[in-house]
Amino acid sequence: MTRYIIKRLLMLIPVILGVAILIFTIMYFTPGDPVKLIAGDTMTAEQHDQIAHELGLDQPYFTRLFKFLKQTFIDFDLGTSYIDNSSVSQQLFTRLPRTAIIASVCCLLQIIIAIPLGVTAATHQGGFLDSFCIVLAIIAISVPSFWIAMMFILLFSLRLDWLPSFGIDHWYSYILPCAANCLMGLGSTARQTRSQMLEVIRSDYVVTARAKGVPERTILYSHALPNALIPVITHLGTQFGSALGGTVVIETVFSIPGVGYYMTNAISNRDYPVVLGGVTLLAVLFCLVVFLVDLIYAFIDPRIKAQYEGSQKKRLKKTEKRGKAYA
Amino acid sequence: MPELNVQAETQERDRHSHHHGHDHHEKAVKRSWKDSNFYGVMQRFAKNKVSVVGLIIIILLVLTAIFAEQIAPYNYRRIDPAHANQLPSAAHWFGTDAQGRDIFSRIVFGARYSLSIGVIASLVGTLLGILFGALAGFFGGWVETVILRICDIIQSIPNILLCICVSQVFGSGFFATAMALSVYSIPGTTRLLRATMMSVREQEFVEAAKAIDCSPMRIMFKHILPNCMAPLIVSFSMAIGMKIMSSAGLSFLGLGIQEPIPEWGAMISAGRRYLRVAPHLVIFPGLFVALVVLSFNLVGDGLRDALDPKLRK
Repeated sequence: MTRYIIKRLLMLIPVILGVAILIFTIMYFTPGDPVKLIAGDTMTAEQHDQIAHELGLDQPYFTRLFKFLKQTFIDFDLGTSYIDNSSVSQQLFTRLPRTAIIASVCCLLQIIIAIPLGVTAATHQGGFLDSFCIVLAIIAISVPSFWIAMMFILLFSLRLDWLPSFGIDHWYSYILPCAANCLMGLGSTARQTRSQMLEVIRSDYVVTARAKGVPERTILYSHALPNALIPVITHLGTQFGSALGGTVVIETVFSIPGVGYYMTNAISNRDYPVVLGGVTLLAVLFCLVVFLVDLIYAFIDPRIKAQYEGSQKKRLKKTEKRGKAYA
Repeated sequence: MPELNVQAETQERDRHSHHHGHDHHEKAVKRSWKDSNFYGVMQRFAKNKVSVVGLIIIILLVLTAIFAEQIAPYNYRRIDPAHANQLPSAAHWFGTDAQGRDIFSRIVFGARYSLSIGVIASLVGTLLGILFGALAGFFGGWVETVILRICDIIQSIPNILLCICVSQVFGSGFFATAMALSVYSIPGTTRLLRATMMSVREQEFVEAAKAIDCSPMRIMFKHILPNCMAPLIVSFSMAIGMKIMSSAGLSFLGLGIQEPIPEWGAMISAGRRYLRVAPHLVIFPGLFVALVVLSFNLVGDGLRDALDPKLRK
């Protein structure tokens, strides 16, 4: 097991390096001059060159790339923003909790609401409850989150005046953003739970359990559900990971100073250190979340454990064979 | 003695299979289009009432986009400050926006932009995904590893951020936005096709094709790829809805297609400032985005059920 963990962690390194290189390259090819955006149009050519030199923007691609990689992965320094000279890592870590709150609440809501909804739909396949859940879920995934966010503001803030429409001053400021943000996830998780449940219910071991006379409730909750939930957990993990950077639109609607909002502004201002540092950090977090989910799996699901051990045995056999062939 | 027996048996089987083949051939001649796979799929699709409703809505919206000039009661560009931010009325079905432009006409013309950007972005994304997926599945080995690792890399970046970054490279025009929207769905399609190919490759007809000495290229394009199309068609139809939504999201952030083009997301973005005094500026374009995305999702669901061999009887 330890070997598996180490192997998986090592496999993260090329992915994260790849993300850093990819995003650096994209930003390198982005038209637009950060120097102009910092200093305005009213400067001489010498001033322009001087600022560009100070920021290291006059160096060739590979020099800048290696400098960036060394700074990020060896010195663990994300640099300072071009616009206000603030430390990028500090900014990101003050903003991350706000985004993380939204992402975690959404994840929690999915576990509490979407999974039971999906199970209900699957157990009542073809019936009224099933159609009701399906319709609800498909509407939830079809409504744009920023639009439903504005509809919530319209109803709960402007008409009823119950909840604030922007900011993060109180705990209840988070209610509307979370509600608007989680809808799509709720729909997709419910749909996935339903289809997984349907697949599992049809499988042989459930038929066997029924034939043995195991009560339906036990079949559902201790035989079928754990197996059906495995792909759903991956889905939730991926969603949580991408929600950390993907709540941009919601943060814009509610003027929440979170990570997404920060990044979008940085991208349009060509604030390279912020974009590069932010995307790299988000990618690291995403990979770690996915990794943790996989790890949980390997602990929960004996099949995955066995698979890994099986492949190890196979490899041993192969090397043995090769050894024999050489001998 | 046993040898003879075997020979007799083989002969018998040969005759039988020959006869069988002949029979099959005759049937194929008489075959009408009603026996075709496509007809069966359509028949199964038609049984799903909800998906048919989705398809009808899509067809109506496409017709709206094509005949926008005839349908729209006003010129969508006509500015009329005297009648700004009017609520829906008989003259202006969906009211007017901050510049006094008729919202209904703008939505009708906006259908052109929203639908075509969705189709183009999904088409580009799907085709590139098919290309990479087929390369990975065909060559295997290190080509496959490299392609899958690149997919990992792209998928580790949050979709919307990647979209924003790429849209900055391409600019903010119509095609630039379509390209930016297509990028993030490439890894998904690549993985989908590769996974499907892996399962199709194990099937008997591929082995049979190998046995009669078909070239790898022929096996790939004539035998394997056509049998991998079902999940791709479903993902394509779902992708169109998703792209329309993402495109609206990008426009909302002020990045994708922008005013004065009447793209639905851009209309929502422009109406946001008047949410208190004129909420209809936001409500109607948003309803249309939701409606079109819903329809594509319904059609995608219907197609998946119709194409899924597990549900066939």
